[in-house]
Amino acid sequence: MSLPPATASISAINTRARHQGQVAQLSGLSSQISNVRAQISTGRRVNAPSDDPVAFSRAATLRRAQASEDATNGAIDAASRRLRTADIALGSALTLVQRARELGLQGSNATMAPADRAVLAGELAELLTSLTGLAETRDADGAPVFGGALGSGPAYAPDATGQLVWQGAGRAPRIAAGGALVETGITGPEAFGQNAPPSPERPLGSADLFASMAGLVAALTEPDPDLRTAALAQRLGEIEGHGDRLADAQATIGARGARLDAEQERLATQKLATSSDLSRLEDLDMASGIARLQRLLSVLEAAQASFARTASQSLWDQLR
Amino acid sequence: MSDLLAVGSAGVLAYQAALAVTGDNVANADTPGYARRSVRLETALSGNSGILQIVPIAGSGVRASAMERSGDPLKIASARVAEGDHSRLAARADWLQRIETSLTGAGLESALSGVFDAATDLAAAPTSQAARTLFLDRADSAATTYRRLGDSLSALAADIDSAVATTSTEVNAITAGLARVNEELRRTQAGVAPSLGLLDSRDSLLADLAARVRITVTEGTKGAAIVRLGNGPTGPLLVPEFGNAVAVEGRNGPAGPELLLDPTHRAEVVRLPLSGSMAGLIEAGRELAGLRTAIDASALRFADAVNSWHQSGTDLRGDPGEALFNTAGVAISSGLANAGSASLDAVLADGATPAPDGYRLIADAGGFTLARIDGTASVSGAGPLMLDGLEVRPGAGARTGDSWTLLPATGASTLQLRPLGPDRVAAAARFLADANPLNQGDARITAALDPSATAFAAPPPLTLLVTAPGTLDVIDPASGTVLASLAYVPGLPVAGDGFNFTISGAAAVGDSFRVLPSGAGSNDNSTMLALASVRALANPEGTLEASFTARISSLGARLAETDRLQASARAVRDDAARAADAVSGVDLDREAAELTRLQMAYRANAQVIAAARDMFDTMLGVSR
Repeated sequence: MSLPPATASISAINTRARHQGQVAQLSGLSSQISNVRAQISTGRRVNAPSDDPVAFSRAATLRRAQASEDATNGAIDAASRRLRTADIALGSALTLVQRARELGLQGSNATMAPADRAVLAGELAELLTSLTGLAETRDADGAPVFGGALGSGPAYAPDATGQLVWQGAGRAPRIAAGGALVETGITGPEAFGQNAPPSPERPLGSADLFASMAGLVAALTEPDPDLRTAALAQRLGEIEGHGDRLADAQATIGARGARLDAEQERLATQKLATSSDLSRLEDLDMASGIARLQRLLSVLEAAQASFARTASQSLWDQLR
Repeated sequence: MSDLLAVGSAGVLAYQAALAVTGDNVANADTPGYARRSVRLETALSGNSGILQIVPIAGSGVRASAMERSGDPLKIASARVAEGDHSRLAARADWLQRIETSLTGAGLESALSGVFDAATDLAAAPTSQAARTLFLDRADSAATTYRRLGDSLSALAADIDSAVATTSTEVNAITAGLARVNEELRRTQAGVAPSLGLLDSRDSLLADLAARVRITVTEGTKGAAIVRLGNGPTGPLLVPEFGNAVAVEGRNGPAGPELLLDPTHRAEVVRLPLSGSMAGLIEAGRELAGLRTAIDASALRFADAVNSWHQSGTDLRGDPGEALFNTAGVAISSGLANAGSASLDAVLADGATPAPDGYRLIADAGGFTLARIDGTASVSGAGPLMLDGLEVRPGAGARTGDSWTLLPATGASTLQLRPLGPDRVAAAARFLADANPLNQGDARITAALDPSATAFAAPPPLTLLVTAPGTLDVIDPASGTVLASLAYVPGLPVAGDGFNFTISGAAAVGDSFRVLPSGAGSNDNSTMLALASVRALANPEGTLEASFTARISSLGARLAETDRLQASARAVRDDAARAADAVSGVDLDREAAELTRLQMAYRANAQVIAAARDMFDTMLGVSR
């Protein structure tokens, strides 16, 4: 390697280097244009983590939140359906219980003939069958609505003495809504009461709706007027209590449904906010994107024209 | 007069040579690595230049003394360095880009959140077969996604390894070429065309080498290049002035690819300065190795968390939940000396544990032998071989003596959903507890799985009857016998046999509670709801999903940084290359001007010859 000739000046530039430099500038412009064009055609500014790592990770978190909000929304739909089913069943049961009470009061009239009381008793037995049917109401997946955590099989079944006993256990499935767990139903004993023998704490014991109805039927057919009056009074009192409990249960279900509705409303608002956040993070500002493309295109055009002009200049043309 | 003729003819010859060189320059204006040449003209000495003739006597015309290459060694060296820096960043950006595409293209984030979202759906309908099937499907797709990501990353790692191997082969070819050029240069006379051509090829070989590894070049006699690896004069010698070049070899080290110097004699790992495409490849390889470790850890973390969560529940048959994912597998590596082309397929049965030392498969005359490496068991045969639940199917084309090693492996590539039916999804809690609706107090009860609890031996179902404030009887509901009398504190768990229960709130005397096993067909969804807390479980890197996103983002940030550095390195490289080229390259306009000048000089010298001839003619005319 010899020393540079003294004539070489720093500003000298050779043909190939000049040519390559200009071509590199042109291809740099072209690649910028293709980037902007890709952004415009996808409408997104962030297509890969390297485009904007911070925005990408924020957007990933938001998308995750969006997906889980969608899932919660679907779950709330299913839970609301179950709550509505329970609500309808409870409403029907309440109507039946009111009818039973009217019939019982009619039967309390001491002047009523035994044959008429038998008719009343027959109708009450029918009501009891309908109530038993309502207690077996199933949701869309076939699980008994009043079975608590019971997933299949009857919610009530007769025991050895013929008395209906609740078969369920635990509580209805819960659903996470707005940071809290909401039960999506009500258990049989909560809606229809529970049988219990007399104990020191409860001298009278306790009867569920079905036992009270059966007792009412039995009381109406009791031939002895004194016993009948006492039994009717006791049973009618119980039936009134059952009516109150059913109304309470319906109110509880309504309140749970309202909580789920409120959560769904919140999710809808949240979804709007999340999508607008996502769009702010990821989406391209179209106006500025298109303006940038225009600017790059005109620069490229000018660069191409000047390249064509300067490259065509040569001293060799002047040599004759 | 004869002097004048000699002067003229010397001038004609000299300018002819100069014109030829200019023509050469024009012809090679676009040849890469060609350095502009020029002829140095000097006054020819008259006389015989003997030792006594000290003062050269001017007047014998001109002569072309030597050819010169233009070029500034410092500028050429800095152009080489700039090229190496750019190559490193370009290689790194290229491979990081591929890694990023694999990572984002795998869709692991949506697969993971799919599992958790399907659990939300299933919690809303715990006994629905459709929701259970969907949940298993999502879990399978998460496992598949992990596997696919693990496989595509390991394919990328293999690609990087082979790129490192190719680059080191190229480096060896270049250094061998340089050693040959050095030898040729020693044999060739300096300042003539062949020597200049050799110097040109020396410079382009050096430029090629510098694009791959960082080198330091010093010049020996007659322009021989002495090349050292790395920065400064103390680096290991790659090309000596005399003798053969030292070879390098890329290999897969513990932390990713690394470069070995002189692999056949005294192999040593060299730390490369951050320049050249080899450095970029090694950096990308290390980044990828770290990423693969992280993805494997993430797969195991996911599988372990989900498995232990699922095992705490009860499925629709009333059985305890089983592990959802299998993480055991085997990694196959072929023997280095295998002559055959047989491929190998190994499947580990569900629940099988491979031997910790691994297995070796050897092709022998009778077929294959699969043996534990610790030598405790082996099977032989031609077809599929089965050992410890590991089924190995060798393909066709094995030669006797070929061997394969199968080592137990866990990680993203081996994650698999176990074959479970929809009714085996454990959505329900292991135990249920409820309060008697007739209770006077408003105490509530919860029961939870607690494998370590062994306080009293009776399993649920149990009835708990509060007999006095802070005291309760544990009653067998079937027989009504009192099994135990316990003291309890409201709000604190009371241990039972494999479970515990907590009574919170004020209980009245006479209140009763039940603790039951959740039987078959339970509609309970407590376990499914608990998956939300598995999702929210954070280790120092955050939750499972957040740590994966953070990994992708940090890779993206690294790629963005590399892109920026590459852009500035490109600018530096272009500037340095232009500066070096400005000295050594050919400018056609300048050559045109040179040509005109030399032509004129040539013509003038021809005129001198003509003048000499005229003078001869005149003299001859006088004598006639």
